[in-house]
Amino acid sequence: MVRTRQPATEPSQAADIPVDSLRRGLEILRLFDVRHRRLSLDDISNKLGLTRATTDKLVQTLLNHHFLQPLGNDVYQPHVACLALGRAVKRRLPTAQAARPLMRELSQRYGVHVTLTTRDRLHMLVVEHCVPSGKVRLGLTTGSRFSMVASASGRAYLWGQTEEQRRVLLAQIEDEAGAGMQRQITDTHAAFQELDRNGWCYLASPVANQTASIATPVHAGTGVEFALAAMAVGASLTEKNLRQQVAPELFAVAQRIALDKDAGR
Amino acid sequence: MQNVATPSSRQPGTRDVRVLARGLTILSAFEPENGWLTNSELAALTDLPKPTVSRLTSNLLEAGYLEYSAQRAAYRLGMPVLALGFAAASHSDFVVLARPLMQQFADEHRVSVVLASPDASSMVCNEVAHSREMLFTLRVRAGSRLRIDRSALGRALVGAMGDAERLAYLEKLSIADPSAWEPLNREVPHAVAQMASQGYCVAAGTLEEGTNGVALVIDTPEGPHTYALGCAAPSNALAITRLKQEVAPGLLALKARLEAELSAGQSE
Repeated sequence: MVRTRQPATEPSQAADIPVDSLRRGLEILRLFDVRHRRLSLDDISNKLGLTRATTDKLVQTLLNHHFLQPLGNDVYQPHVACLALGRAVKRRLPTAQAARPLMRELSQRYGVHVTLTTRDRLHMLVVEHCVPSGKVRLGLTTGSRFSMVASASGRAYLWGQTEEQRRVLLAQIEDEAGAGMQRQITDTHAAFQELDRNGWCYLASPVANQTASIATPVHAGTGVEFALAAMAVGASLTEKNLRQQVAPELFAVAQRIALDKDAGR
Repeated sequence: MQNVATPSSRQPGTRDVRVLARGLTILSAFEPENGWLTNSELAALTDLPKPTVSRLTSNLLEAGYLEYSAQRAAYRLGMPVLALGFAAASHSDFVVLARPLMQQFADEHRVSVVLASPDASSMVCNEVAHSREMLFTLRVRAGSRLRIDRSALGRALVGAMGDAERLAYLEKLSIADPSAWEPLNREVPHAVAQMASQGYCVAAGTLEEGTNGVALVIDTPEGPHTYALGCAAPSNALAITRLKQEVAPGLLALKARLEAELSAGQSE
């Protein structure tokens, strides 16, 4: 995959045009997630700090283009144009395609959830997720997002960045979340030490009690774009098993994904 | 025969915020393959001036919705767009309700079952269930677009519309996508007649040669014919006789059950 890079001729040219409505419209779409499947006009205007009239105009445009669907009483949900775009992206994810069989094998062998993620602003975005046979999906599937500092994947991803990038991202997380995030930040620094020692980190209860994750960055080319994690659910796999059996395998799979990714450049 | 559709250039709605509408049009131009596109190619695909496209792609890049390859001097959809698809796929109570019943129907009748809704000149699949008995299935997944003029789904939807709504829809389509409008317009009398007499539309070999399909519409509390529900299979596995005698009555029963469940859910 070609890394995202700023084209030389922009974005300064864009400063003088009325692009706010585009950004605001896209921010409206971003408000919808698994915990906010439906939002009212008031919810949207409050969350984005826009007037009701402005919000209404933007929402009407999203409705006209089938990015949103009305549910009555000024309540909306994402619609088919979003679905079609998501599908288009998924069709062209070479890293996910190369990773999928390796992830599935690991998932079946140890009965763990295996997740490939990348960064989306200050969250981790699921690119591919394998569920072991007979297990529940736990809300993790391609396109779902979770916290960067509260997840083993996010911590592994952060560790893989340059010191400057890491500092900037952690500062942004602190700015956004305030003092409530301090404990997670401290835990993230502790995870960095574990990553320094092992190349992976361990986190208990990332999504629920009785769950535990380990994660490692996927090094490819000159940087880290993805993180790979394995999550055990229930008492079937102990922390010791995760650390001693699954972690080395996870590490090996991450290296194979990185090799495939480098070969595809 | 091409059985998948691309979103056509849209006519701006009367209340559209222009910059946002154009940005959405740019995003939709990357469907269905998400290949690399230069600003010039995007300008040609969307009928927008190149300087406008350049500004929009620049802003979509900044927002993370596009990624840029300096080597190709071209853009494609960025991974954050996956989250839009996830939000849309997971949101609908109706899709959640329909999913297991669609799978049961697919297995029972050895077909692929599709729940879709219209978007421009295509039907976008909200949910797809393939029979677990079939070795080969149609290459259709949630998010796939099917041509409205060739699919039983599109014909059922247009056939179910009231006269005024259908005329308005066809008029819009004739401007936005004449290549889809022309064959659909020819099919309209037949689709209307089928929907009126049987409650479903049959399409034999029109979506793809060697594939037979049948579709009907689902009315929801949000409005009539919100979705089209259909099923299809290779014609050697789904002859027209079996389709009409076994599958179509089953699909009508599935429609009745889904609408009853929706209605019950609404009154709770």
